[in-house]
Amino acid sequence: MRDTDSIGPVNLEFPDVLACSFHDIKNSLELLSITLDSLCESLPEYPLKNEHLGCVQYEVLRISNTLTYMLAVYKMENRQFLLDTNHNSVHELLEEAACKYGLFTRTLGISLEVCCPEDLIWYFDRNLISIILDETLNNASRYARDKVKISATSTESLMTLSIEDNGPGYPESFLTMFMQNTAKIKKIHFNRNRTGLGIYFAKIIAESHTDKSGNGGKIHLSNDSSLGGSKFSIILPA
Amino acid sequence: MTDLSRKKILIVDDIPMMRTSIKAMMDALGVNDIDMAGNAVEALQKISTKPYDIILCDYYLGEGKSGQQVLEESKTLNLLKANAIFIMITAEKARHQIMSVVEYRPDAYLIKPFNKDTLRFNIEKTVDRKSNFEEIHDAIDKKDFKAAIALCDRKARENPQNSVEYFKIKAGLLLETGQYAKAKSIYEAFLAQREVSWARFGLGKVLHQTGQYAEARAIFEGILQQNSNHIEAYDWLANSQLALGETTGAQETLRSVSKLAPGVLRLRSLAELALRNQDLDTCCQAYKELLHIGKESAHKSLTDYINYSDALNQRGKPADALNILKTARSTFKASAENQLRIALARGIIYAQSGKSTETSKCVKEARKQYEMSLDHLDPPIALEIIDGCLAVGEKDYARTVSEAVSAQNPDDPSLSARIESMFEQAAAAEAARLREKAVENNHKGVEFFEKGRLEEAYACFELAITGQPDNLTYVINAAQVLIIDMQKKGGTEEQFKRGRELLELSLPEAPNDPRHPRLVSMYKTVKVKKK
Repeated sequence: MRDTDSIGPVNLEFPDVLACSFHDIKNSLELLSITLDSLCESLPEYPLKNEHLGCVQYEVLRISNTLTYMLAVYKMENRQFLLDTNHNSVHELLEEAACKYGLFTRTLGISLEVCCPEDLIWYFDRNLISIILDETLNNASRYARDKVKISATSTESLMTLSIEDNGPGYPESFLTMFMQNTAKIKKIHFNRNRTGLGIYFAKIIAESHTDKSGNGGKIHLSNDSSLGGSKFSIILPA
Repeated sequence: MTDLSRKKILIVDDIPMMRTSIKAMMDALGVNDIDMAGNAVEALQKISTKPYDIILCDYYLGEGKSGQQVLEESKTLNLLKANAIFIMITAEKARHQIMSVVEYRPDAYLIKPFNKDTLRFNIEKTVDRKSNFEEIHDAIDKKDFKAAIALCDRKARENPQNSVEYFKIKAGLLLETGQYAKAKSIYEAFLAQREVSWARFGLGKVLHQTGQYAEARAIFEGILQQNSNHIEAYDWLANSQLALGETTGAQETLRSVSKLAPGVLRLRSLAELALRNQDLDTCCQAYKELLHIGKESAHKSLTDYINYSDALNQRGKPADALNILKTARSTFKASAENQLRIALARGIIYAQSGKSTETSKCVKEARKQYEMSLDHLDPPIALEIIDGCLAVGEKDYARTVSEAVSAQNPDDPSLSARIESMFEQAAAAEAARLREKAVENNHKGVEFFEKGRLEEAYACFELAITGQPDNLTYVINAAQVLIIDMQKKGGTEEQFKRGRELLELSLPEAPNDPRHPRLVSMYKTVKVKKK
C-alpha cells in the first residue's frame, strides 16, 4: 500500500483541455453577459446607477480578461505566441472599447469620454492592445467616481494611449512597487485585489512592439491624471 | 448609421440559448428579417436559398463542420452575394486569423463576450469597410484588374487612413497580373520602413514568380520560423521547393501544413506529390484522410478515388484498391462518364493481377458506357481514359477516344501532344515488355539447344525474333538450329525457304559473327528431306 494514491495519468493532452475549457467558459460568459444586459434593460429605473449590477458586470468582464491572459501566457510558454502587427485606426480601437464598456459604465453612473484624432493610424497588434485596453478600462471604471477618459496622442515617433479616471488613484504601495520593478517586473504580487497580472502582461506586450532599431514600447502608471485619479499609459514606438 | 431594419440576417450557432440571445440583440437593433441555423448543414442549406446580407456564425458548431467550413463552402459554391458580410463569432481571434487562407477569411471576427453595442459597432464598421472596397472588388470580380489598380491609387489618395490596405490590394493585383517589378517596389517600400510580414510574404511571392526560387524559399522559411502556423507560407514554400526540384522537401512541407490545416486541396497535392516520389505509404495515408474529410466537401472528386485505388494497387493491395472503387461507385452519381472511369480503373487492377476474364468484363462495360453517351469529355478525364485503355491493352479503343477528344477540343494544341506522348510511352512500355520476353525466349532456346532439343530451341528463337525482329543474334541463332536440324534430317521445302530468309536477314551481322559464313556453306550442302 502506498500512502497516497495519485490519480492519473489522464489520457488527455493539456492543450486540448485548455482549449475546450477556454471555449466553454467563454460561451458561459457570453450567455451570462447577454442575460445580464437584458436584465439591466428590463429594470424600470434603467439606465440609473445600480452598483450591484455593476459589480456583476465588472466580474464577468474581469473573468473574461483574465482568461485571455491565461491563454496568452500559455502560448508564450509554448512559443506559439506571435505578434500580428498591422496599421490600425486608433480611433476605431477606442470607439470599440467604449462600445464594449458603455453598458457597464452607464450602470455605474460613469461618463466615458473618448478623445482621439479620427485620422490617427498606428502600427500595432490590434488584438493584443485591445486586451490591455479592456483590462485597464475595466479597472478604471471600477475605481472611478463618475468619470473615465480614454485618449490617444502621437508624435512622429511615439503614440500614447491613456486611460484615466477621477477615482482615488493607485495606492502608493502599488505605485512604489511598479516604480521599483519598472525595469523588470518579474514577480507577480498576489495582493488581495490587484495582482498586477494585467500590468505584467501589458508590459510584455508593450515591450514586444519594437521600432526599426529594436526599441520597445513602455507602460506608465501614475496618479497625475487631469481628472484627479489614476492614469495608465501605454506608449508604442512608430 | 447603417440602416439594419431591411437587412436579411442569418445567425448560426449550435447552442439554442446563444441563438435566441443573439436574435434578441438583433431585434433590439431593429432588424426584422432574422433566420437561425443550428449546424453547418442547415446553415448552408439556408444560405443557398436566401440572399443574406449579414451572416453571424459561431466558429465552433459542435459535431460536424465548423463555421470556417460554412464560410469556405459558401465561397467555393458562390452562395454569397457580393456585398454580403460574414462575421465569425469566436472565443479567440489570433489563431483562426492566421490559420485561414486569405480567400477564406471572414469579413470580421467578433470576440466573445460581446454586447448589443459591440455587435452593432462591428456590423457597421464591417459594412463601411466593405463598401469602401466595393468598387475595387467589383472590378476584380469582372477581371478588370487595370481599373481595380487605378481605383486603389485613387482611394489611397482620397483616404489616407486606409492607404495601407489599398497598397496591399494593389500589390496583390500587380502580382496576379504579372507586373512583378511594380509589386516588388511596393513591398520593398514598406519593408524599408519596418519588418511587415505581409510585405515580406509578398516579396517572397514576387521572387518565386520571377524564377528566383532559392531566394523565395529562404523568405518563406524565414516567415515559418517566426510563425509556424502561417498556412499560406507553407503552400508557397512547397511551390518553391518543387520549382527547385526538391520533391522530398516539398512533400515534407505539404505534410506539415496538412497536419495544421487538412484541406482537401492540400491533401490532394500531398498525395499526388507522394505518388510522384513513389512514397506510396504517404500517398495512401493522404488519400485516406482526403476521402474522409472530403466526403461532404465541394471539392469531392472521383479522380481522388481512382488515384487512391491506383496507389493501393501499386502498393500490392489490389483488394483494397477494388474496395475504394466500390465506394466510389456508391458515392458518385452513376453517369456514363463516372461508370466508364470506374470500369477502366477496375480493368487496370485486374489486368495487372493477370485476371483476364475480369479485365475483359470491365473493358466491355467501359465500352458500353462510352458508346452510351459522352459527346463531351473533359480533357483531363479523357487523358485518364486513354491511359487506362492503353494499360489494359485496348490500343484501338484508346485511339478512338483520342480522336474524339481531339475533335472536341480543337483549340487545345497541348492536348494532342499529351495524347501522343501517352501513346509513345505505352508503345515504349510495350516494346520493353517484348524485348524482355525476347531475351527470355532466346535464353530458353539456348538451353534447349545445349540439351540437343533442336525443334524446341528453334521454336523459342523464332518467338524471340517476333518479339524483337531487329536483334540479329536471335536470327542467327534461329538459322543455326534450323540448319543443323536440316542437316541431320534433311530439309523440307518450307525449311529451305525460312533458312534462306534467316540468312539473308542476318547478312549485315556476317562481318561480326563468324557463324554466318559457316551457316551459309552448311546450308548449301543440306539435302532435300526424303518423303
